[in-house]
Amino acid sequence: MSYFDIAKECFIDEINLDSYVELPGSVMAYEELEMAFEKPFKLMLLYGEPGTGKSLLLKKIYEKKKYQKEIHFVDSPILNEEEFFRKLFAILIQKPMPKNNKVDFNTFVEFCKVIKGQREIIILLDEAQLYPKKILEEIRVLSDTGVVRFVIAVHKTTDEDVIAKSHFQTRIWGSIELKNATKDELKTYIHQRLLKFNQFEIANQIKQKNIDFIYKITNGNFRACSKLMYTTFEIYQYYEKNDPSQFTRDKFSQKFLEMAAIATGAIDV
Amino acid sequence: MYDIPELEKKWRKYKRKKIQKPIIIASIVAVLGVGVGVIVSTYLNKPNDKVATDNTKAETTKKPSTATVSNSNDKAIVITRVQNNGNPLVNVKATKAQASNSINPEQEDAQSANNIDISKAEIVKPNVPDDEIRVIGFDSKEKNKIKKKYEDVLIPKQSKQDIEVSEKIAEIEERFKTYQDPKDSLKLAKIYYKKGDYKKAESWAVSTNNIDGDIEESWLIFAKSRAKQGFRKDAIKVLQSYYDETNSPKAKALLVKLRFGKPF
Repeated sequence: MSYFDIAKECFIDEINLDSYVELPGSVMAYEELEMAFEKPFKLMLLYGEPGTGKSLLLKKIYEKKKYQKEIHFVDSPILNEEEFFRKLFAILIQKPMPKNNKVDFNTFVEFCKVIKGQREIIILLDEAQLYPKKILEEIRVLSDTGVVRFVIAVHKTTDEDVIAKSHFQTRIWGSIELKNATKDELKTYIHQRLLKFNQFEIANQIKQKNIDFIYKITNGNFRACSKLMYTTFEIYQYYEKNDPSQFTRDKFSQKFLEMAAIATGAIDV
Repeated sequence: MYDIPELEKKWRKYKRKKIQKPIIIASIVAVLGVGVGVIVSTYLNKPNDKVATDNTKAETTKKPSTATVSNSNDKAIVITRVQNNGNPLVNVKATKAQASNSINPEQEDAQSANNIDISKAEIVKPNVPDDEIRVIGFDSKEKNKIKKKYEDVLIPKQSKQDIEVSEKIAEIEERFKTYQDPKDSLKLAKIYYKKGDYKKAESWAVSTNNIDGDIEESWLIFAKSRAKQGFRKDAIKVLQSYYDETNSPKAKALLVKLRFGKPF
């Protein structure tokens, strides 16, 4: 595996806790969410622009709490009611729903009433802005039972208003906003991602000038930053193979960074 | 995987745009600066005309009805004739050899070291373009004031050869207006740089770059002209961008010279 191949791997966009970087903003959000778990909330809203780390935060708290609490992480959105009921069945009954069986939604509500006081279930729903309104309504009814509590992560868009206000306004116990990184946080993020893969040399080569550019281009968005860095190392790979005279190994190439920004559409030429 | 050669082309385009921006802004600022400077100096000089005149007065003389102005490097020619009135005079000398077209023959005998009242001078313009003429013979503090006051006191620094160059410039400029050929604008940039008119050299280099951004010589002349005008940092910045883009050895060599303050 080439030198730049490993560097490229550092910035693959996936929900991987190994590459989780603790930054002041995300640590604060995590602690707030962890504290909320100790309160009798019905709904928690986690919102922010795409690429601000909502999924990773849900994943992290799920991994940490899964042995202490009855917690479930639904990482991809459920788009139809039947599938939602199957998922709900598996969570509540703790068995897969038998094939060719259908369950009425009221059955789940009644079941919740039965287990009230005996079990406390937390469901983490990622990409909740994609859920149909009907399912959102059912989530609201379920949360009213006090048995199933939801943490819903949504993009900070106009849809967030629909979810937060129309359906859950009175039930939302709290909301946590995840924001884009500051310049210093972004610098730490890039360095930490590289250091987690032992890419000390490259991490040292990335100077403030490069960070300033990355920040300007990505506005501190983690996903955009990862994409930019990934593409930059792809370009490095190309030149390493075809024309190594185009870069030196002691200085991070601003040219490649700019080329990556053009390639990813962050700069319009 | 991306089409890297295509991507590199786009990047070059992006860099060109990026480089051109500060150049255009710097040019606008320079033009505005010069404009403001001229207005301010004109305004400030008006009420001081009398003082300026007084300050330039030195020795007096009774004799000359024709006066001359000379240059320490023997290039000046006589261009003025003085009306004698006995007032305090400015000490201005002439070089005989180049003065023939403007000196009254009656005064030739007396022209070796004449002292004249320049404020009363009657001006005879030499037959050369105005922009090829300069005022000499005054100390630097007074020079600007005198220049303003006696704009017609014109002394050519031109030799015949220089005049030929001026004609050549006019011809190329005319051709450039018609054909917009970057070779012409580059030639003009080179001529002006050689003449030491760095501002014009820079301006023509910019014109060249605007037409064709890949002419290395034009970038180098731009950087050198900029540096010669005292904007060394600007020159380094632009040249560094050009070098980043092209890896040109010439650009690198010039960069080193600029960075370390070496002559170029």
